[in-house]
Amino acid sequence: MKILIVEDEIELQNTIKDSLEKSDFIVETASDYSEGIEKTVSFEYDCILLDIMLPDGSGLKLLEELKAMKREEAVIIVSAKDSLDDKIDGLNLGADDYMTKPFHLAELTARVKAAIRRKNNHGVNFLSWKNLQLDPDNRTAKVDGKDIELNRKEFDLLYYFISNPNRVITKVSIAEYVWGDHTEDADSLDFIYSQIKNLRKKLQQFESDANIKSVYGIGYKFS
Amino acid sequence: MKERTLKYYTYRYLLIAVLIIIAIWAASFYWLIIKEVYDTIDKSLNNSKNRIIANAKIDTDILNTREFGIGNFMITPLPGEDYSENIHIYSTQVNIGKLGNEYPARMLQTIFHINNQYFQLEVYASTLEDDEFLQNLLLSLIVLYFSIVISIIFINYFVLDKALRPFYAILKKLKIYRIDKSNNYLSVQSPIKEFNELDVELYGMTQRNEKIYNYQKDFIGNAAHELQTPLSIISNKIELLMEDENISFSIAEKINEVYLAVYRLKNLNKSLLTLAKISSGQFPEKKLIHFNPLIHSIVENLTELSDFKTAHIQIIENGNFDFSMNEELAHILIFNLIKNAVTHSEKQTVIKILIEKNSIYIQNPGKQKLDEQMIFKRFYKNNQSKSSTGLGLSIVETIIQLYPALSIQYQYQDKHIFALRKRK
Repeated sequence: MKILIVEDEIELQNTIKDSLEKSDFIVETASDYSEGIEKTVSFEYDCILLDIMLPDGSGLKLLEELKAMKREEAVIIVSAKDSLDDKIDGLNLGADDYMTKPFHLAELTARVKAAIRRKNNHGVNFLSWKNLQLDPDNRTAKVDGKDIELNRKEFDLLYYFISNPNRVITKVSIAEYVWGDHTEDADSLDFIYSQIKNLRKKLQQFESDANIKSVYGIGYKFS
Repeated sequence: MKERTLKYYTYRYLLIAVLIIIAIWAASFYWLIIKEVYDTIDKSLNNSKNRIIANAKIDTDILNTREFGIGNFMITPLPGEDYSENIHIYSTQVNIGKLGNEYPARMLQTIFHINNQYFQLEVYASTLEDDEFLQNLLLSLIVLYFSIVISIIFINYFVLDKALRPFYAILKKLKIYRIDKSNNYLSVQSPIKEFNELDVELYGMTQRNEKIYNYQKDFIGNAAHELQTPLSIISNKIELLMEDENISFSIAEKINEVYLAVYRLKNLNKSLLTLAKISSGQFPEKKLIHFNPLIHSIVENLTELSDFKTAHIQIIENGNFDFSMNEELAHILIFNLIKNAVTHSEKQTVIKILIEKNSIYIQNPGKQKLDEQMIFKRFYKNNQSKSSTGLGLSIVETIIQLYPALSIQYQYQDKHIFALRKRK
C-alpha cells in the first residue's frame, strides 16, 4: 500500500518514512504544498499524511484540492497545533483523522491502517494475525473462529499490537494509546506489565499462535 | 508603627489643634473682658473717691459718714499722722442694709487728710450685675467653643469623606484587579485632579503590565508549541533506534532512559501548552456538565492504574453536582484531581470521592500536610513525585480561575482533601 507524507520537517519526514516502510508500506514524500499537489495529481495513494503548516501553503488547502478532485485517499492531518478549530475544520473538509505532534510511531501505523481499512469497502473489515482475527467495528476477537472474551482495554491493547506486528512497541506508547493521557507518571508505567500479562494469559488460554514478547524492558513485540 | 486610617489620622491632629487653639482664644478673650469690666468699675470708683474728697473739703458733714449708705462710701478718722495716701482697690463681699446679705463688690480704700487730720475712705461699687454678665459670657463662650469644635469636626468629616470617596473607589478596584483577567481595571471618575491623575497612572500601569504579562504568556505558549516538532523527531528517532536488532541490552537500557526523559519532557510541554491554551481563553464553549457520570467514567478509566497502585476508589453520591462549563475543561479538572489522588496514594489505601449538590470532595490518606500556599503553584512538587510534571494542580487552578462561580480548596484532616465547591 502506498502512502504520501507531506511534511516540511525533513527529519520527521524521514523518521515516519522509515517507520512505515518497516510496516511494509511504500512511502513517498513531499516537503511543501506545491510538491504535495504535484504528487497527488500524478499518483494515487492509499493514505496521505498531511502537515497543516507548510512553507508555501496550508495543508487544509491541499485537502480542499483533493476533495475537489474527488480523490478517495484516506487523509490523516498531522499538526503541531493541538487546536480544536483546526481539528474540526480538517474533519469537516473530509480528513479521516487528526493527529497532534508529538506522536508515537506505533500509533501512527495503527491510525494509518485504520484509516485505510475504513476507506476500502472491500468487505474485509477485520485484522488478522496468524490464527487471531480482530473485528474493530464490532470490537470482537476470535481465535480459529472461536470468540475470546476481552474487556475494552484488552481489546484496545490487542488492536494496537495487531496493527504493529513484529515491531517494538514501547510501554509509553501503549500506555498513551490505551489509557490516553492518564499515565503522565512514568513510574507507574509498570502497571502496563500486569495488563500485558493478563492479555498473554487469555491468548494462551484460547491457544492463539500470536505471541507478545518483552523487549529488554523497553516495550513489547507482537509476533 | 501602628496603622491608622487617613480619616483618623487627620481628625486626631485637627482635633488636638482645634481644641487647643480655640481654648487659648476663648480664655484670652474672657480674660480681656474681665479686665475691661474691672477697669471700668475701678475708674468710676476713682472718680467717686475724687468727688467725695473734693466735696468733703467743702462740706465737712460728709466726713461723718461712718457707715455705707446711699453714697456707697464710709469715712473713718484715723489717729495720729503720717499715713501713706496710696489707693488700694480689691474685690470683696459687702454687707448692705440691715438684711445682712452679702454682695460681691469692688472696694476702693484710700487715706486722705484735711488739716492734718487723716481719714480712711472706703468706696465700693456693687459688681453683682457685672459678675452675672461675666458668668453669662463664660457660659456663652463654653457653648460657642463646643459648637465651633463640633462644627469643624463635622464639616471636615463630610468634606473629607466626599473628597476621599474616589480614593476608596480606586482602592476597591485595585483589590479586585487581577492581571490575568484583561481589562478589569475600570477607571474611576472624580472631581479631584490628584485622584484622576492617580487613576490614569494606575490604568496606564495595569495596561503596561497586562501587555507584558500577555507577551510572556504567549511566549510560553509559542515556545512550547515550537518544541513539539523537535520533540517529535527525538522520540520517534529513539523508537526507531529501539527496533534496531544490533543494539546490546545495555545500550537499549540507556536508550530507554533517554526515551523516558523525553517522555517527561513531552508531558511537561503538553501541560504548558494546555495551561497557555486555558489562560488564553481557547475553551469558550459551555454546556451543562453532569459531574456524577463524568466522575464515574474517569474513575473507570483510572481503574487499572489505581488497581496497580492497590488503591481503591470509592464514590459516595449524596447529590448531583451539575455545573455549566466547558466539557473538555471539566474533564481535565476532574481527571487531574483524581489522578493527583491516585498518584500520591500509598499502597492499600482508599480514595474517597464524595459528591454533593454544591461540592465535590476528593480525599486520600496522607501522613503529612502539604503546603496549601504552594500546592497549586507551577512546578511545586513534594519529594515523592519525582517524575510527575508538577503542573496538574496548577492546571486545575487555572481552570477554576476561568469560572468565578467555582472554588477549589485544599485541607488536611489526617488525610488530603481537595474540595471543589460552587460559590453561593
